[in-house]
Amino acid sequence: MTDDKDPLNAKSLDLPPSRELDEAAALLAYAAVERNPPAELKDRLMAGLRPVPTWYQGKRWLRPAAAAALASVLLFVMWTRTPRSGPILIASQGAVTVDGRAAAAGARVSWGSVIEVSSDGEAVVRVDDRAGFSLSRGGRAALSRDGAALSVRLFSGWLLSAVKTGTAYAVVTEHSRVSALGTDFIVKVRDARAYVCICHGHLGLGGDFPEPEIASQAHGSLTEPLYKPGSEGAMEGHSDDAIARLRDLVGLQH
Amino acid sequence: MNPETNDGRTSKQQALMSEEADCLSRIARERDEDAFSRLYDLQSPLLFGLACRILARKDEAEEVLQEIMLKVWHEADRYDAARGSARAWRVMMTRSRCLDRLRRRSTALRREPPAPENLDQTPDDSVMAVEEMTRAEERAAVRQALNSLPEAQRRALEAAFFEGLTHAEIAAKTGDPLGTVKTRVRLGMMKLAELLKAYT
Repeated sequence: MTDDKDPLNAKSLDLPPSRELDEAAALLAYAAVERNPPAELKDRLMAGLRPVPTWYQGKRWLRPAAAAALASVLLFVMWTRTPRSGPILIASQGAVTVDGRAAAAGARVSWGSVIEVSSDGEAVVRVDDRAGFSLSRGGRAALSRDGAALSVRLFSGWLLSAVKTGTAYAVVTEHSRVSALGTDFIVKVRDARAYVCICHGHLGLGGDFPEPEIASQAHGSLTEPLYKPGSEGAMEGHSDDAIARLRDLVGLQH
Repeated sequence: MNPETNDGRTSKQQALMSEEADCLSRIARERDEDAFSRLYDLQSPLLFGLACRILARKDEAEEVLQEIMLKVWHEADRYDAARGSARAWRVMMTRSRCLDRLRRRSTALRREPPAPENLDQTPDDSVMAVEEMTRAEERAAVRQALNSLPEAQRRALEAAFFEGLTHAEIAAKTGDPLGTVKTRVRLGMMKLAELLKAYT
């Protein structure tokens, strides 16, 4: 019941506002029997009184204002951390299919979908606003997401990834797992063996790779199970320009 | 008999209201715990009795009284004397809080208003003597005023005040037409305001 519905107030009674009426309504409390509350209630109350700091007196708006500011910050953080769209095919070249159907630039890619490109084709996919990749050389890959963690299962071909620092993103092959720890990188699968090139940064490695992680200030490749600097043509199939193009296409800053 | 002032209040009543207002002012200005303690002593029997009557449960009535008194402590500076007496402010605050609790109880559990005989009609002996005497005059005046109303009007006012019922709910409860209920409450309140003018 709002005050407007309170049958005892002047408005409900179609009477002009009247102090006498309000006071008379309050006096109805005397129709109840007065009772002394338990003595310990007063003791608890007196013990619980907290003096209001001088600086806070007359500034009661501070608490709701602070709460509103905090809520705004939290909403902003959630907004910035929430992916605003699902995966999308940004550019394609040659024959590109998604789940077996021909796909062109602009096509949506569902989580779990399998993307395939012809040996001369390329598919650039923006996974979300934190990561994207270029699939080429007869590549076949599937996207998946577990909460905020993104991963691409690479069955064949080459996958050049551009990832925003701090994003949980990994490329998984049959025998290995390559996690971005702040870098762009390419993973190649050939004859069921994975090759990875780190491009200025830090990678986490799992599976058959001999080291758990690797950092480099320059392009450098390694092959599972053995680290072979310069092997398999580390710069083959990608370059700084290719990375820059990919970053432009998927909307990541350089 | 206490000498009456120009506005009909006895000097004791006036002194009591003045003391309450003074306590509230000291709480607002100086966070005066003695003033709070005094105000508690002056007001808690009325507020606690009211809460017990509405809620019919002492434990909940204690919680409400605690909430209201803490609100008084923290928000004494929000009291606006121009809008009504300090007593009316606290009484209506207490009533409102009690009715909120009453509504939160499930409909199935909502109790029927207690019959008068179920209520302890005997005031606590320990309520302070001087204030009790003064309040007894007011209480007697209120009850006299209520008893002077036609039975149907009095019941309608009590249902609205203690049970928080709307006009429509009172009509549904009594089986009377809505218009009749509205008229009863309106006439009852106007009569009450007139009869209790000396205490408002």
